[in-house]
Amino acid sequence: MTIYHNSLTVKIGLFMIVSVLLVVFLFPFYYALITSFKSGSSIFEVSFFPEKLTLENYIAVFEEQPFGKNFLNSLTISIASGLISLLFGMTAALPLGRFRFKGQRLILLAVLIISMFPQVAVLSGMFELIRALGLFNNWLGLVLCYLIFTLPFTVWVLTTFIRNLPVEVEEAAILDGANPWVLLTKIFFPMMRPAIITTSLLVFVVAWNEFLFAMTFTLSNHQRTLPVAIALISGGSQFEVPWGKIMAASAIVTVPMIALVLIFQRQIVSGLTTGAVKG
Amino acid sequence: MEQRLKSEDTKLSYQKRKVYSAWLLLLPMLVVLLIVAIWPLCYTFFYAFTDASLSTLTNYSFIGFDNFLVQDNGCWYGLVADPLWWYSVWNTIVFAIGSVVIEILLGTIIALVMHTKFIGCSLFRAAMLIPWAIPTVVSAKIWNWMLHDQFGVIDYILVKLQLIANPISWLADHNLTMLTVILVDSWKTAPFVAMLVLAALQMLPNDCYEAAKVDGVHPIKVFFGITLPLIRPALIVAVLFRLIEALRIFDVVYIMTGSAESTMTMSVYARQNLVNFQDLGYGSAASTMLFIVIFFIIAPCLAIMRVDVMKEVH
Amino acid sequence: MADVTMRDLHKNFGDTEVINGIDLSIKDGTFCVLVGPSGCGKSTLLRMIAGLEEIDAGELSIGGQVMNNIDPSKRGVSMVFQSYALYPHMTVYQNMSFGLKLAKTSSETIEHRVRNAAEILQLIDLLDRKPKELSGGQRQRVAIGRAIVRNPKAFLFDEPLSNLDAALRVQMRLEISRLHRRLGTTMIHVTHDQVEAMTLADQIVVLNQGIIEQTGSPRDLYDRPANVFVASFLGSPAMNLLKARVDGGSVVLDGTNSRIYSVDGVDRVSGPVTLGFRPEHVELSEDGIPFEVEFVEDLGDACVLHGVLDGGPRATVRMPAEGVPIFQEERILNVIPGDGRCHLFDRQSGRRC
Repeated sequence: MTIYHNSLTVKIGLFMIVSVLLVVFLFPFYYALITSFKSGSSIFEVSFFPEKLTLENYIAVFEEQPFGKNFLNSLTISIASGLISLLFGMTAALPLGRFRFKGQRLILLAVLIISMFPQVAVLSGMFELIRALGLFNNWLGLVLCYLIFTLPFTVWVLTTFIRNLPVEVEEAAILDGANPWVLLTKIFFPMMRPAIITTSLLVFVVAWNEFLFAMTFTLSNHQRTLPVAIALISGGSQFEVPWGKIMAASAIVTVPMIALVLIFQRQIVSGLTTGAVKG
Repeated sequence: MEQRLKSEDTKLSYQKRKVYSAWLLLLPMLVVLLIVAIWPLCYTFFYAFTDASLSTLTNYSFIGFDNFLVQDNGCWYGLVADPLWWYSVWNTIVFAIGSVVIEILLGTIIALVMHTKFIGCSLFRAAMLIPWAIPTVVSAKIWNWMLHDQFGVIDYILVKLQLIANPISWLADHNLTMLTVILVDSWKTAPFVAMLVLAALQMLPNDCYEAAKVDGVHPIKVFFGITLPLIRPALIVAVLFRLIEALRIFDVVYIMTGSAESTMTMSVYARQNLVNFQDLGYGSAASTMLFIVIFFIIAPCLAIMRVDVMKEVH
Repeated sequence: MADVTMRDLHKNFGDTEVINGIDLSIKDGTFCVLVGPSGCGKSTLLRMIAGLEEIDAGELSIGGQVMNNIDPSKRGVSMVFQSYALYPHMTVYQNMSFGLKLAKTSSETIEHRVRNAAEILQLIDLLDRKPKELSGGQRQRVAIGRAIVRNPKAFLFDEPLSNLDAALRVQMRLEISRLHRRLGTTMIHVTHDQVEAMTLADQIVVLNQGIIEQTGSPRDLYDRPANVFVASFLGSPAMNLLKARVDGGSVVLDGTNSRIYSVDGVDRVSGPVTLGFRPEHVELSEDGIPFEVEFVEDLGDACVLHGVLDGGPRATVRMPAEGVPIFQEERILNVIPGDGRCHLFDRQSGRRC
């Protein structure tokens, strides 16, 4: 913004705001990390710097429950629902973004409305569906029901993107003799790579973080996803909450997400804005 | 003339072919959405009028509107007669308004900071995204720990700074739990709002600001006179988006305060009846009501904003 | 032979007729320019030739073969788009060879043709670049190169120069002209720029509201416009078109008593007409019509004067720069259209008398 005078006071003010924001938004993670390295009663003493690092909590997380399996579950489910929504989203986005036909408007509206469904509203129906398909307590069941929010989102983002691609490039390819398949694989896929990367990232994040379906449709420790596993970490009694373990588990879940955000910052931002502004 | 007729013939079949292939390509998505969205929703609506229970799924009967409201021996029963349900509606509205207001304000401030250029601003942006990217469960747990009424670091700091005399029970005090939940939710989602606002800020025409600078307008006046009106569409979209999310809020509330009455939202109420009390019929009725409330709040908003889906198409 | 022939072509978009019965034949090797105001259907007509738009009625043939229902890629035409339409993810070489690869051409032939085209267009050093690393003019050349390598029977250009800046446009115009001379292939070029039309074309087709207003050589169209539309469309500044009436072998401008003698065709008509004469065909003359100058545009080599003829109609006059000192505002000059430089059009139909 060019309006700001370049004076020292403004610089100091900006520095202050940035610092406050950074503390407010990052301190919780820092504090969680510190707690996760503490053990025994030292957890209950507030301190801002790590004194004695122990990996006790991290070991406990993996030993006392199938946390590795939970990690794998989350990974499989997120990747699978991402792939499926991309596949079906891609095929749907092509006619929605490029063709003109009756009912197009209705379908887009339906997709928009479905993306607004409260999860709870489909919970009992979804339960019936999962039971009917025999997918209760099965990761495939979660992949299926995650499609209710990943697919509409994918369709929206990809449709907007396809709509903004120049038609003339497509026509040039037609004149060059490209059939629909060549058009899709040699022209559209490569041109849509940024959109595909963005969408798959966001779908991955949303599926990775989902809680309600995962908690309701899984039963055994081995089938749970990470968020549910963390929510259910408990001690001997209500008053013995194992905070160290919970913080260790939280750190394990958070680190990959931080890496993802740092690497793909730009793609995530662009996806968030198209998904929201157009949806 | 003959030629003309023949040409129109082939054109028709070509058009048909194109529409045909469009539907063929749409088919997979339509089938999936039908299975995972429409069908479950209809089932929920259906169950709402039955006395089905999770334990006896196959054995239920149709009971009309009894789940919503019924008179028995001069007493009213059902959802609409349940004070707890009304309390959950009230909580949901308080949560929605409170969190959306804070998120929009905080999000705009963050966006304005992101929009200025300073050393490390790209890192700052990435840092702001982290709360959005991590699971709600994790952020809720971390805050639960930090707000712990005995060992919480927040109380510790506040006491040390002499802002409060005694530790506050953020998560146990009925008067405070809602505020706590709203603040934590805002902490998590304000970055999302900031991203939307930032995108709008980056599209603002620079010449307006140069003109204002030439005229010597005070920066604060510039913000309220130029920036705010120009980013209003983005703000409205953000409000709408956050409103939908806030009205169906479940995970933050559930993890931070469980099914406590003081923070029970409509989603928590519905799920409690559905899963914990195994009352599929009654829970479905509550879910149906939630759907109707959201639909009737959002539909007029969309109409007012005139979000024309077709405008996007061509 | 790659003549392009159109017989009674029609095209509707919904209820609007865009192409309204086009009969046109373009001889092999001709540089044909389709020109007209925006919305006149010129791009649609080109796209119908390419096969990107369906032909609703009528017959299109290229090289004697009816093409109505032939796939775009099998019509033997290449198209250059306004926005260049390069494949953003491919290098220049890949862009140019894409069509040949799809046609399963042998790799030696591809290599040979791409190199050849790249040499003609001075693209040899850019073959490994991606489109985004090229300037506008370079992108345009790649788009043309992509058209050349396919050895088409006809080139189709859809306003290819309109995205370039003025200087580059002149340069590319020359390059296209040179290319046509070198290849001798039929070219059909769409533009709304009449200078482009005049300079490039062997044959100009002036389109308006989906019909052909006139076709012929640039000289024909300039010297003998068939109607008021063509007369006003070609030439800059535009031809003066004044209401007048033919009275006893001379033309009287409406609202004045000024007469113009020696106009071709006066003997064939009488009554109200539209009189046309080009600004550059006006001469100073002692016994001319008084012309009050209101506004002067000095172009350096010439002056364009806007003013009022004998207190009546407005007119534009273009004079060689030698006279500059006298071309001042509020000055009254005596002017007269040159002998045989006037055109008479029917007042009602706008047709040439």
